[in-house]
Amino acid sequence: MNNSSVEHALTQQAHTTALYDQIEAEFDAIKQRYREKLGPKDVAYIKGLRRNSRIAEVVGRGLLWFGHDPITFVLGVGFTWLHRNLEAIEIGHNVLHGQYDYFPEIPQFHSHNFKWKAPVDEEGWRREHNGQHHVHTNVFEKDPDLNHGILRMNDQTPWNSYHRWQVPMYLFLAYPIMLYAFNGQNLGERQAYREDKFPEGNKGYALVEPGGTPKEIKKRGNRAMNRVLFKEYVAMPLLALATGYSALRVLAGNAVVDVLNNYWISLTIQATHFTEPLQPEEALNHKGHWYLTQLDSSVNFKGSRRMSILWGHLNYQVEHHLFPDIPSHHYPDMAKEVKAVCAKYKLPYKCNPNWGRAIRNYIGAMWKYSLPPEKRGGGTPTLSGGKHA
Amino acid sequence: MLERALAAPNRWALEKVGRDWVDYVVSNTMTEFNRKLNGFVWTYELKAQIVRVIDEAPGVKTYVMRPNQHWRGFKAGQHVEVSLNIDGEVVPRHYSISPMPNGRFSFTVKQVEGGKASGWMHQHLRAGMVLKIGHPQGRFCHQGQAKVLYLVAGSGITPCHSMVSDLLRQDTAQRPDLQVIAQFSTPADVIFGSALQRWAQSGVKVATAFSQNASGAALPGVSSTGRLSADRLEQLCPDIASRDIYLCGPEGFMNAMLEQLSSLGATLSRVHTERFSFASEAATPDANFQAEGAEVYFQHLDTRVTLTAADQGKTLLQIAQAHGVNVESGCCQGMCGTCRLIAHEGQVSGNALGKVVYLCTAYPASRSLVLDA
Repeated sequence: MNNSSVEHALTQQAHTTALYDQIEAEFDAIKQRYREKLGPKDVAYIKGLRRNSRIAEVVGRGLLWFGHDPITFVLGVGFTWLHRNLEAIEIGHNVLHGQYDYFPEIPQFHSHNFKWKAPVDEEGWRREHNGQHHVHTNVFEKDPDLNHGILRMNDQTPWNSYHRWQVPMYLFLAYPIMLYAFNGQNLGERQAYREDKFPEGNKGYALVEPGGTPKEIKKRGNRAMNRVLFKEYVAMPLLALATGYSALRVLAGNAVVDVLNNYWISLTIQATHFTEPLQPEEALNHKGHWYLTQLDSSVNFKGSRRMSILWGHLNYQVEHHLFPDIPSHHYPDMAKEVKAVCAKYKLPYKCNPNWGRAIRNYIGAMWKYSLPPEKRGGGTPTLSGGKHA
Repeated sequence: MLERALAAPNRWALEKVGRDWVDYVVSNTMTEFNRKLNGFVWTYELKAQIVRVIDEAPGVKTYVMRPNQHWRGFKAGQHVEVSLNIDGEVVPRHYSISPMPNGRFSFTVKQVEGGKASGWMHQHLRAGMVLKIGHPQGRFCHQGQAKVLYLVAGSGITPCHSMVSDLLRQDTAQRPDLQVIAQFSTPADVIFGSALQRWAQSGVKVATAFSQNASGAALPGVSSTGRLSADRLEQLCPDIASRDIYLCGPEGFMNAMLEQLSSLGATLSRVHTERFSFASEAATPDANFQAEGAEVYFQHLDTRVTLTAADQGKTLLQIAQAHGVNVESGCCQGMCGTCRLIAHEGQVSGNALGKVVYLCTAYPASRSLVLDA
């Protein structure tokens, strides 16, 4: 993948309304074709996933509960992880995008009914993720996922000494408990922290609007967190203890699962977003222009269809950002059509050869921006750079 | 059998633990198994269980309901849609509801001669049964006015009952000056008799009127008179011109009262109405009206529609929908009042009361019609 071609294609090509109109027509046509396909297959898909997730849960938790040896421990962790992974991303994330709202026969998979088996408040998530991140992707001070927490991912954001630690801080402290930290971002705690601690406050960071009074928001956050902590670290160990098995083994197993799950999800979502180039806010004025900014802000990585389920199809981040409310299992097919459109208009279609490369590129960018621009050599802030070279 | 066994734990959970906690636990444990086991709480639908059936008067029953955790409360004077499953057909009906302790509510049904739903309800609904209901709707609620007259007839007393009960809970000092005039056919038809007496004892001026036959025991402490006329209204309520009037009852009663009230000099903009039984006969298009070329202006949406020959015989709601005008609508039977607009200019036929037009059951009747929210 060649970064300079990306920048050229999208920033220097004559961006006329005529091009936007064509892009809009092309991508709308793809979306329309897949909308027309929505039907029993999608219902069967999501119900099948839930069934498999339940089976994995019963097997995994059973092995942790009733087993005694290390092999059953490892297998128990594996199956329980499979359950929690499916519930968190391929089911949870996609359902909360409203991908299954079209089907009245499955109210349990409607975005406003669904409850996550993850410690994340659904309303806060829908507002922040669907309503801000997916709308203003990579727009400076508008996309809350561009720089989040104490993260700094471009030179427009003022540097301070917190940023020096962002690589170890995220890799060793944040990612293992990432899902537990989502509420902090979505419900406004992080922005209050930055306002308090950062010399220039929230400059460079987008603000979220979680909805509701501070008291209601706190309650929502606590409830989302407590339902998971209670199930994983109170109810399940107590059940083992009450039936004469080891509470400690269940507790330890669930903790390992939690860390694995958080790490897996963190690396999947972080490594599929390009934090540069920044996008103009006025892209929203033309749907074609907006499609281009989405194409420009996401990056896929290659993987089999089966593995894609475990990544929640976020390795098709490009398709997900173009069509966030089409059921995710269509993305591999849609990708072929998106690629064809890109080839036709000589637009870059960004894709890493594998997950490892995607992760390395992302960590590289994180490292780069952990340093103040003057210490990196070159000195001038720039939008393009070596992070995905 | 299972439903009966679950009624007690459900009651405990909803009324003692609280709807908020039930919602937290239930929404996070929504499995197929739970939904089959206890579908009253493990559901995404708003449902209510009948707790008690009270005989108010001959042909009048009050149903006390316990809603599940999806209930978010209501304002006195609002109504809910109750879905009845009559011989495999879903029949929706709207009823005004009154607050009850423990988050319950009640509604009162008068049996109507030949009425499909009311007869069925009186015959089939028993304590323990579960009904699907809608969220409360309607704007027929007390709006903080200081001097109020409730002028009601028959089962039109139910929203008034809800509002007065609610207002009487306030401190005497803050409470508005309330007066209630309720007309029934005969003393035997009185609904909420004990409530009327209670209100009279707490200082509300209450009067009953009987349109057909006033012989029989009147309510102690409550004045009674014959069919309401302009003279009688003035006698019962000398300051009627300075009051906000909440008017509710059958079609004929409401039209007659509007006439009497205008002759008494009451300001019609201060008359708040709630249609109770919808106008089935009146709801027909004007046969002489030629739709083609006529114009309807939806002022609040700033949208102008020119009718075509295809609009002949259509209701205003059908016209709005056919022309892509996004008006609010509800039951489509002239009951729920969601679609109501005010006619500033022009004529309509069918379901209209004063200047209020029920789009779903009213038809244009003039070349130009201006409707506003």
